[in-house]
Amino acid sequence: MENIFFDIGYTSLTDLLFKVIAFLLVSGLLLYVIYLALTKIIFRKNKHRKEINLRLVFLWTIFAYFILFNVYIFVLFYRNGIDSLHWTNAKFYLGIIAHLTIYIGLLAYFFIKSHSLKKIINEKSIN
Amino acid sequence: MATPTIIIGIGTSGLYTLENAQRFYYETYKTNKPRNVEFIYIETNESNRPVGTPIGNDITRVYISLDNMAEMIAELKTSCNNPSWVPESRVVLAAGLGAGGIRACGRLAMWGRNQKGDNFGNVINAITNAYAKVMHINNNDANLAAQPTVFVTGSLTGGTGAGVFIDMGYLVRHIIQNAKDIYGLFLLPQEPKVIRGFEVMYGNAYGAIKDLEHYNKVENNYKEKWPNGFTKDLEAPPYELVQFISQDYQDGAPAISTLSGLYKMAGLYLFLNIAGIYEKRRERLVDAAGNSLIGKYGTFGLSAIQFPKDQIQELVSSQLSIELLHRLTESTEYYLNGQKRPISRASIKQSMAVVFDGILESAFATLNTVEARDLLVSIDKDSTRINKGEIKGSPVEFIIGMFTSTRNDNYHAMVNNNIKSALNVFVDNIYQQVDNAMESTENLYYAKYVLEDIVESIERTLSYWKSIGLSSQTQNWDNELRKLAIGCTKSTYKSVFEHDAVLKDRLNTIFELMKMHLSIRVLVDICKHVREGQIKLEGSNHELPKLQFFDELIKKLNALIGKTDELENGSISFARRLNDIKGDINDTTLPILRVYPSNSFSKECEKAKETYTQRSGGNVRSITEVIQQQNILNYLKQKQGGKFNEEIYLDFLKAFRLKVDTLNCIEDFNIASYIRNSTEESIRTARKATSPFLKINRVFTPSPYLPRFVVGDDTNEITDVLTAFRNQNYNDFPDTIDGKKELTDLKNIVVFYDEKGNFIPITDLSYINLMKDAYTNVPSGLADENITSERWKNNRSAYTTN
Repeated sequence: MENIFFDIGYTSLTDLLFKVIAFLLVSGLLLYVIYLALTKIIFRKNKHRKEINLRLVFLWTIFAYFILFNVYIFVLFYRNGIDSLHWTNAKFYLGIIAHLTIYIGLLAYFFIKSHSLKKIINEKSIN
Repeated sequence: MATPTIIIGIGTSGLYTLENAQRFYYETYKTNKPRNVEFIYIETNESNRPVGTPIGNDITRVYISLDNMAEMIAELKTSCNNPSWVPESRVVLAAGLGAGGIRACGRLAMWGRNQKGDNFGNVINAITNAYAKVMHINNNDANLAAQPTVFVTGSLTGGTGAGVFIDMGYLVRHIIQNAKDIYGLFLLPQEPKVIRGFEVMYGNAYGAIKDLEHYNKVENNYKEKWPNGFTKDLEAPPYELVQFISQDYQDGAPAISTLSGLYKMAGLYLFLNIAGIYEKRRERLVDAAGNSLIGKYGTFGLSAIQFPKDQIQELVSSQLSIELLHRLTESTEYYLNGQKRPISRASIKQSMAVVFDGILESAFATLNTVEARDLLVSIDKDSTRINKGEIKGSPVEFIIGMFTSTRNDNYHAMVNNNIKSALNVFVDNIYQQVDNAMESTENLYYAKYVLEDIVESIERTLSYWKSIGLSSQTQNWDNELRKLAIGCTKSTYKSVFEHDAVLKDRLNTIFELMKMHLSIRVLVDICKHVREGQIKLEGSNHELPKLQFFDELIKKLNALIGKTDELENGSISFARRLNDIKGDINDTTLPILRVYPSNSFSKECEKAKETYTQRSGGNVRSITEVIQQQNILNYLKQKQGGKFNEEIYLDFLKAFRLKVDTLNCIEDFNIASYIRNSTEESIRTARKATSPFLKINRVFTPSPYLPRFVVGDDTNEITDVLTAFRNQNYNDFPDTIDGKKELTDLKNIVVFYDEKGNFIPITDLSYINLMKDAYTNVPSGLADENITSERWKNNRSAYTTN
């Protein structure tokens, strides 16, 4: 397990796919847990419509997870040492492709969700 | 000993004379008449109404309608033995307003009966009631004489006065059988410069004088069968004494320039009689009659030296009223706590947008409850049932069923049936906003802007609702509802256990949207009511004001204060009254010399205004104070339903006069002392009284038997005046008991009165031949070419006296 989350070397395509799936599953689980917790904590007394509040909470959830993920990345790089980060080597990128997927995916997801929230609270919308 | 007196005015001139008498009485005693006097006014012109003094009006109006004249004629012919004076239907139908200058029409009006009432009965009732009133006072006051005196006044130039004046004398004799005296005071047209165009006036007057002369002769009896069933065959003349006056002076001095000046003189004469000179006159007249010095006809001369305190007070009060009313119609500024502030339209707009949001919230909140059932609680329960699957059919159909317009047992039906309560909230709150604005700013423009900006907010809201797809159409709502119901079943947030809250929230949103859909019609109606005035909307207490209401008020008030010139004909206004006062003061043809401590009317007015400002502490009065703490909006609305101009005019004038009076802004002026200092000018004025208001071809020699005296507030002062006159060799007014009359309340004026008699107008009036021509000959170029000589003469006759 430690190899999956703290090893940045590329071994095989099978391992790579396994690693990406594992990252996605863990990220999904963590997002759900954070979201569930935040829905019970923040915006409880807000007078906005419930759906809007829940969507706002989800954006905060992504943000919170993003912070956690960045902390994890820092720990990852610290443990592997500066010498293992070969930024000019294509193989290095194959090793961190799971991390990159989550990083970019989170950002993209945040903007997609914020855009859909904007659409809902648009004054011309009856919803 | 005062005498119970009834004064009857006939026709429009009779009314104006009574108004002047009432006004003089008010100016002197601050009441409209003494308790032993009644004023009655009989008129054929429905639009004429008495104008009161600042404390109101005490002239009883008796309207004798000329509607359905053909039927009136037919009935009179049957019930009164076909009197020969009754005109032909085709003649009277062309009469026009009032009696139309046809004497027989005036007479017909008094005798007739139509759907508006029994004219003859109404006149009898009015005189009987007046008689009962003065006698009731009489019975409770030992200082009053036992027999009443009646004065009948009017002009003999029109149809009404010249038509009924003889009947009126006999009618009074019939009703008040113990009448001490029945006097006539009739106005004649002045000596004509040109008679062309005035033939009706002079012809009528001649016909009337001729008829009166006929009944004044013992050999001619008044024989009529009246509509009340009485048959009269009377030998006595209709009046003990008839006094004629016109705008002319006998000595050829320039005639009184206006008819209103003549009404003023007639009014002054009647006022002096009820104020106390009647008894003094009568003592002399009895002696004069015994010595054959008066006869059946008389006239008089009257002049006065006056400090016009009342006119100054009225002018100042009018100016103060204008200033205060001007605040109501000021379009750029308003007063708050006595400070002038600009009206900021942008800030009103901004605050009204916020206010309307609040009103909308309150109105929607009232729709949450129907017959003590809280619909929001009910919707909560329904959302729980949906999530628990305790419903029949699909959730989408269930939700549609809750809010669709096609059912009559759901939330849509309940809210729709309760929409009046939302309307009440809208109307009451909007009214409240306008009312608050009116009360705090006392400015009609401000209140109008508040209303206009609330309506703008409504329109903006409606436009927004339209943009999100809402309308008042039920079909449209049902289509939108389906989309919303489908949306409710998607993304339910069950994974985070928030599905109950989310569905409840979504159903509440649909409920709010449904309220908007149902309120659209109400809000559109409010806009239509306010902007176009097409419909009438009422809340729980008030009708919603309209912009038109404010526009009309502003227009009327501007006309009332003379800011614009859009006054209805005959309406009273401050500007008109100011002009009248100034015109009256500057009218040198009136035999009244106006004197002032500062030698100037305008200086006296300025001084009075300065004193007012000083003594009232420089504070600007509020409208609420003037209208005695009433609500301004209610007050104006109530006045709009009545005689707006007259009522507002009187309310404001009365309030300011009272204040000016209470603060004693104008001091009395001792006229006797003025006369002593300006004797020559005073003698010129006194001399005017010895020339009567009538051009008679006869020299009136002074007679000690006829009334000639000076009236003032103190006998000693009058004696001083007469002494000053004697010192200048002026002796027309004798310094004897008979030559002086003290009326202690008659401040600021000294009146010179001289009565003449023993003439016969039908022969002695200097222009009687011109009048006879006008009576006899049809003028050329009349609009109605069918008028024959006979018909012309018939129109100028009302009694069978040939």
